Amino acid sequence: MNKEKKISPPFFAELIMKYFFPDKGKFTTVGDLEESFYHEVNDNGTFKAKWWYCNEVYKSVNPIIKNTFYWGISMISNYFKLAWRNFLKYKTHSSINLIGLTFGIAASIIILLFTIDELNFDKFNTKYDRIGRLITEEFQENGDSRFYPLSAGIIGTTLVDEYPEVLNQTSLFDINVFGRFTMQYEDFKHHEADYLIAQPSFFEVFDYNLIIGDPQKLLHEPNEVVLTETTAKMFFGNENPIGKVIQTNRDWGNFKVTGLIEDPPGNSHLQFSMLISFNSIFTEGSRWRQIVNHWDMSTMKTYLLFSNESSMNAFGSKLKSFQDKHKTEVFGVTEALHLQPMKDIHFGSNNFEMDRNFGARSINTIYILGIIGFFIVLSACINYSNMSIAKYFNRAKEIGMRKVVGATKKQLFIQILSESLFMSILAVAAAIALVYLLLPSFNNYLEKNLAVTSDNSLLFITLLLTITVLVGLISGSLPAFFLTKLKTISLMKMKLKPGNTVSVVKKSLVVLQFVISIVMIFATITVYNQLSYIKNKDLGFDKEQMIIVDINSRDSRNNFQSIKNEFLKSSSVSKVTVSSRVPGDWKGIGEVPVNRVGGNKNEEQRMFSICADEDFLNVYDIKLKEGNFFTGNVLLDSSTVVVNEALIKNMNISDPIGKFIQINDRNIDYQMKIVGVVEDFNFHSLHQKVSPLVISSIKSPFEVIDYYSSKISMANVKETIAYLKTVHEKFDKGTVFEFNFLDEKIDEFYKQDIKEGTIINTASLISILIACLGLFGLASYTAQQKIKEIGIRKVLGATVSEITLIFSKEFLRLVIVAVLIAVPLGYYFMNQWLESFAYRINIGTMEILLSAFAAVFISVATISYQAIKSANTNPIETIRTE
Amino acid sequence: MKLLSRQEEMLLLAVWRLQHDAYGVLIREKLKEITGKEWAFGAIFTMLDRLVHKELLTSYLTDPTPERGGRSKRIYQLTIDGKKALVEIKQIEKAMWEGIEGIGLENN
Repeated sequence: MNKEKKISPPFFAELIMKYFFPDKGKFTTVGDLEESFYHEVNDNGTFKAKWWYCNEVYKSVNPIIKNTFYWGISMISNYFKLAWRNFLKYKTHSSINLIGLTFGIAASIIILLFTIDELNFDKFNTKYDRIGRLITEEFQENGDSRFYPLSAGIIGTTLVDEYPEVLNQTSLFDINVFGRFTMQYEDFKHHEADYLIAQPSFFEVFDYNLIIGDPQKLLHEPNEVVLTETTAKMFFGNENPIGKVIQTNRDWGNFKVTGLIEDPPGNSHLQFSMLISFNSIFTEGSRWRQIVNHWDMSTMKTYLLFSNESSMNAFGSKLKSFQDKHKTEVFGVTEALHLQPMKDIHFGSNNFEMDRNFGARSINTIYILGIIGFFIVLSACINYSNMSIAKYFNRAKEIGMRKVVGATKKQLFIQILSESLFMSILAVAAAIALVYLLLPSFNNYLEKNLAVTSDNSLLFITLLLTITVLVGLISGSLPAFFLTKLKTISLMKMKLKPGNTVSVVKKSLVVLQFVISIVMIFATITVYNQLSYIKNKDLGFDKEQMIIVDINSRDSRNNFQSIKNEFLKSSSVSKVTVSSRVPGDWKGIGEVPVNRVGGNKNEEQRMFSICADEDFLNVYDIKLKEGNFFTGNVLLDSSTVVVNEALIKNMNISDPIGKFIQINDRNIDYQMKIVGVVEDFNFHSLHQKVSPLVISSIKSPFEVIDYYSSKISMANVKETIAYLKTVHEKFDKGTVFEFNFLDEKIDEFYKQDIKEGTIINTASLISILIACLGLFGLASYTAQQKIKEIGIRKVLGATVSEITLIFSKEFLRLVIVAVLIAVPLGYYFMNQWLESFAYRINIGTMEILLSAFAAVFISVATISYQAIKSANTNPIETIRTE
Repeated sequence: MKLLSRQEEMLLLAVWRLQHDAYGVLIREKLKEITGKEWAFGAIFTMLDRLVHKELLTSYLTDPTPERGGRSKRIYQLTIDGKKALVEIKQIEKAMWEGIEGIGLENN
């Protein structure tokens, strides 16, 4: 009995049988087979019976499958053959569709690659999902907060000690703390700016690939350095770098190369040329021991490694109690600690200061790009839909015949979809070729390394297939839907009055296309205007013809007076000044805590601070509002400051000249007398409003001089630079002569904006192109439809211009509707974009009129070819055949 | 009307002979008994299906029986058209053999 139960037909074969012969859910055939199966079991045994069963199933199912495939394939290959023939027959239509789709898809492929690359930032770290970065929030007196990715060096190690889920930590110094220094190997001198000072745990937390060196042993000793390949090549060429000694001009002395590391990948937020061992800073000066162990000195970037992702996510809330436990006068009082997961570093660091975060970007950029890409492709799909509806009306007889012969709705649907799929496959292939050609220049421009690699190829191919199918479906479904609805008899008689719905849908699609294009034109104009506004805005100081020479050594700093005088000896140098920072500085301007005299500690505010000599105002042509600038007399100047208007407003000082403010430096309060007020000048980029600024003299304790700024004449620039170099080298033998043109440096603030602008321009160009192609195709179709009407009108005496007008009117109406919809949309979006600038243009009627006019002009130009062509045909040719 | 094929004829006759037991398994066995050849189920299913489609056969379901995995039997029956078709083919056959005593091999 038990044995009886165990014997049953092979499960899988039964399943196949059930699938192919359901018999309305009753499975009678399966039942027959099973009954005979038991007979077989009795006659020939289980094994043979099972074999027999499988064989029977195979024999039953085989013809069905064969038939489906054979006819299916021959059907579909017929569809594709037809698609190809029609592609060749209607060349204008096909090429318009193909070009539109190709450009649209190419744009979206590039956007796709860009997005994949962006979303993979930092993902090469195997512990990516459980690394977090400490962020310090500093509370401001006015209720705002400022954020830094910096914290005290002691916090990381203490967290590891106190919390079991914090497995490890690694803290870094970057150039913000130690500044640049000169490195020398034999005769080769190099000015280093991209180093990181790292602890041995760097290799335990991150996964940068070491080429030579044991990660367990590296970076433990003082004065060790691990070079990247590029840096090693720069110093030593092809020699083995290990064991070589590089001299520096700093107190920490020489570095010994102990390891070699691959260049950090392009999608790493940490970019560095070398790793210097953390212990080296104690040879630089013993005070660093106090600094890194001081709870209030937020100087290090700290990364924490957690046991798992959920403990990291839960950890943020524990930092408050941690701060309460270790509270100092500042730590836990005027600042709060936060944890930023590694996955947020690339997109979530917009408002962090002092963050050397390579390639950091707002996630909005990705969204905007995605939306632009989607709309461009959509626009191309609309072209296809509209034109195939038009085209199929010419092929009505074909569809009618198919119906008469017995094609079902479903089959017609599939046929029309397979044609659009065919087109989309062609377009994707062409787009891939186009991207292949364009990608190198894109990479160059975006400073990216976009490519299909083994890591992302699977994702990329999946997405590409999705695009292909989606584009095919979107563009084909509308014609398929309308055409299959038509009656056979009207198809055969060619009596096709495009129904009301069809023409409304077609018209709204054209309007949608033009809305997209007009918004893009609008954006292009606004971006252009904003960028030229920035370029030409009066910054409040003179940035032209200004050469900035860096001070990189004590020699250069101490001899500034002599160097200044020597510089001035050149006939092409008209004015020179020294200062700690220059307006529009690119290295970050220092800050000091400022207070009113006798104010509470918690009223203190951090304000930007520079020092400058008495010529600063004159050289930069900054306007003095009240009082005087520095005298040049060291004794008089050292206890005075000059401030800007923003500071007066911020601290609410009335009648400021002669008043005192209190500036804290290394826990000493200095009382400084305000001797002058300067008009606000934009010492930061125009993304930011002018902040309060304290200018102190060069002998003040707060800042030291770092730059010579020389106003030069534009003639003989090369000779002037060479002259400055000789002078500098006479006094400073140790370091490299380093100079910049101020206006070029200031333009770099807007590099990102200009790039975004170019992307928008390109996208709008493509979308206009696609919309115009669509309009052209529709116009040629209309011309064909109205050929008799135009002929009769001409016979009755209409002039060419009248006909052109009648012809264009229909399209112009659509474009004007599009303008009405697009203008408010564009206005809204561009206002959002302009929000990121503190100094911005207002969108006026000019931009609106210009984009509306551009749209109308472009569409008229597109239609007029067809309009004039059909208006000029001889009426005899069009009306003689009926 | 199109003439029945030989296989169809055999199938219809098998169904007639079996009367109320004319379902897949027994039809197959009957055919085997008469022709002495193994018939694949697949061949029988498709042919039965075609005959139902041509309205020469109808079918009804019995109550489920346990020895078939709890499934019903589909019992087939001749329709009037089916019977007519059989009569027709029989007459034609008869007409074809009319007057022929033998073709010389019958006794071998």
